[in-house]
Amino acid sequence: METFNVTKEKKKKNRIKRVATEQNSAILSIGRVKKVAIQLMMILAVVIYVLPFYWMMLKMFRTSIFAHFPPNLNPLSGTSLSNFVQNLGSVWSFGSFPRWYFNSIFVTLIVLFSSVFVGSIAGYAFARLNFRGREMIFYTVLGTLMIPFPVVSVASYVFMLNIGWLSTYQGIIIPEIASALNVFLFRQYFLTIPKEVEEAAKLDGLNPFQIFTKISAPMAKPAFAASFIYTFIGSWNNFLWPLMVIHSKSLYTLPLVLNFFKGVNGIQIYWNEMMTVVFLTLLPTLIIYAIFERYFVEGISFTGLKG
Amino acid sequence: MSVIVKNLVLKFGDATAIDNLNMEIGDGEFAVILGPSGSGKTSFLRCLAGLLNYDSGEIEINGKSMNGVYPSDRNVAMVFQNYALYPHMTIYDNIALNLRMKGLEKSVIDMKVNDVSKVLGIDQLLKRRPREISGGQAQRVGLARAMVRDPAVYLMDEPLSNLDAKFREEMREELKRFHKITGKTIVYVTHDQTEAMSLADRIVVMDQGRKIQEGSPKTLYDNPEHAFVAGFVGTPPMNIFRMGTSGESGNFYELEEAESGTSFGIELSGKKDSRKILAGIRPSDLTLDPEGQLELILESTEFLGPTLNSYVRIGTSRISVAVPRTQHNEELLMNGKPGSKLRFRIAPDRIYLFDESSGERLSVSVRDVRTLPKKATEIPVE
Ligand SMILES: Nc1ncnc2c1ncn2[C@@H]1O[C@H](COP(=O)(O)OP(=O)(O)OP(=O)(O)O)[C@@H](O)[C@H]1O
Ligand SMILES: [Mg+2]
Repeated sequence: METFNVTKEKKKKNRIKRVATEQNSAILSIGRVKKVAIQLMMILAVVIYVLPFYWMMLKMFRTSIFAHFPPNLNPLSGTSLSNFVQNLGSVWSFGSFPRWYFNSIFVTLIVLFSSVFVGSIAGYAFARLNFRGREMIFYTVLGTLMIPFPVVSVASYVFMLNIGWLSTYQGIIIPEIASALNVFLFRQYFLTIPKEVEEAAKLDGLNPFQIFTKISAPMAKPAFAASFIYTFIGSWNNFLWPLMVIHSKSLYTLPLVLNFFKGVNGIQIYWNEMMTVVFLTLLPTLIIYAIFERYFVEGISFTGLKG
Repeated sequence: MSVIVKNLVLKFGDATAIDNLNMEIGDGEFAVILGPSGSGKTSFLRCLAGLLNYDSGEIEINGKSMNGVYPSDRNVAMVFQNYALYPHMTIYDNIALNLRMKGLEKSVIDMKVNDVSKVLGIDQLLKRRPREISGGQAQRVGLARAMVRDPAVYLMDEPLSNLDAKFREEMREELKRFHKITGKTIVYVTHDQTEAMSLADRIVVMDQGRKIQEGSPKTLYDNPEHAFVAGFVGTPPMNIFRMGTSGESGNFYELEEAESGTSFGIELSGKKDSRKILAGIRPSDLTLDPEGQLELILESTEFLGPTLNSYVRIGTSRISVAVPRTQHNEELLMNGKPGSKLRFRIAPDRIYLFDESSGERLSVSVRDVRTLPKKATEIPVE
């Protein structure tokens, strides 16, 4: 029965196609040109995005510190795995690299979990709880999204200076533990969940806290995935704020280390080592991307943000 | 357990969703709230369940005021109009959640969930998730979720609306049997009058947040106190005509719409102040009779097995009639040409009269009915 239906469907489709080709061949050829053009553009985009990665790979598998221009005719000449291991070794023993790596992970983990946590409960409160001044508070929070970070950075810096948090972990972390973007994202998502589901839970004997943890939060998985990903990338790649508050090398995070590699003395760039650091910096992002690939797309389409 | 509602008022901003509602539902009663879309049925159930804060009034369940009582402490279970299943849980967990919250033992939960899902025919679906089942199945899961808790009062919001006709009837029977066996109080919301008629001990008809009339299905059908009820209860719905009086005699009213063509008039047993009234005639009260008072023009006929539903016309007014299927009736209605003239009889005492502006039933009765000849072009008197 099923196969019968399938063949029937196919036949129908073919027939429609045939009719379409006969009647609209002109339109179709325009469509084909369009399709080829789009494909060409996509290939170009891929090349543009992949080239830096390719270049990074070439450098980190070499020991030569120089960038070749024009590139060697055989791009793979001089690359080997042992070169990479050697680069890794020298980077890892450079300065206090393990500590810097740890700093990045430590800061990002705390920022990530607190920001997602605060965002989800605050977003839930704005979406579901009735309290005085809810709208006003929400729009105030939302309003902070409109202010670019550099505008507030100086004030934040002075504030940190006054409370003595410059060059401390809390100085890097605390200002980032809540994000208006996450609050907004979660609120919007919770608003799309039908109220009745939570009402059913109320009747089933769950208290408001349990409703959040057992019903609403699990239903908001896409929002969690999206905010997890964006917060991770934002925090892991954060450069400006750590640059401002950290004055002691021991607290450096990876973006600062990269900056540092970019020519300590302003004279010599060690391309092989720098690209190895770039690789190590990218590694967690790549791993997360591989794991959450599905959610990346979902998250982007859900928030309507462009990657 | 009984449910008592006193002077319930619910507002959404300026709009009044429930307007001073009073109701008393007895212990073990199957009460059906019947009303068109937007009449406030769901809002009423949500008030009973404690999911909505109403503006004023009082709700008592089993003699206890429900003010400030948390939904799960009211001993009520609700079946939601849009199912409201937990999408991230399996069907089994959907049904079992309440029992788990009560801290029942695993084996007991297992037994109860299996029992109820067998009764509702969803025992094959327990491992699936809500998005993997059909609307009708979801509705049954919603029912199962309520039944497994064995509450004192069931609140059901159109629980059968998404089932196909055959299964809906089956479920209707199942619900009735269930009600008979358990003797539980059920407050059941629907906009489907057939469903209301077949299920209810008592029907409460609502419109625009107000209670229009309540009573047994028979009472509502035989004695509608309001034109709204008359037009809402019964299939096919009652024909309602707007009648006006020319004024002189005060007890003769004529069909309003028929400016040209034939028309009909009724003579009341007593005088009435209002210049306009509504006259209602049930489709089944019209019978084919060559000596009948009404001359009607055939438009079309639907064959429904034991009955024939015809649409006929007088002047520009459309009238539906439902007559039993007999050879004679079939000959006239099924084989008759559209446009042919047929005579129908109506017993004058089967005509319902309502006030035109308030819609309320009038106490006068009809003495005589007659078809009026084609109006001559009116000559101004003055
Ligand atoms: N949360 C709300 N905010 C504002 N107005 C509401 C809200 N819920 C319901 N209403 C309004 O209250 C009135 C009654 O709604 P309700 O859902 O109770 O109707 P209903 O009888 O259940 O209709 P249906 O048969 O379509 O389900 C409607 O006019 C509706 O627009
Ligand atoms: Mg409703």
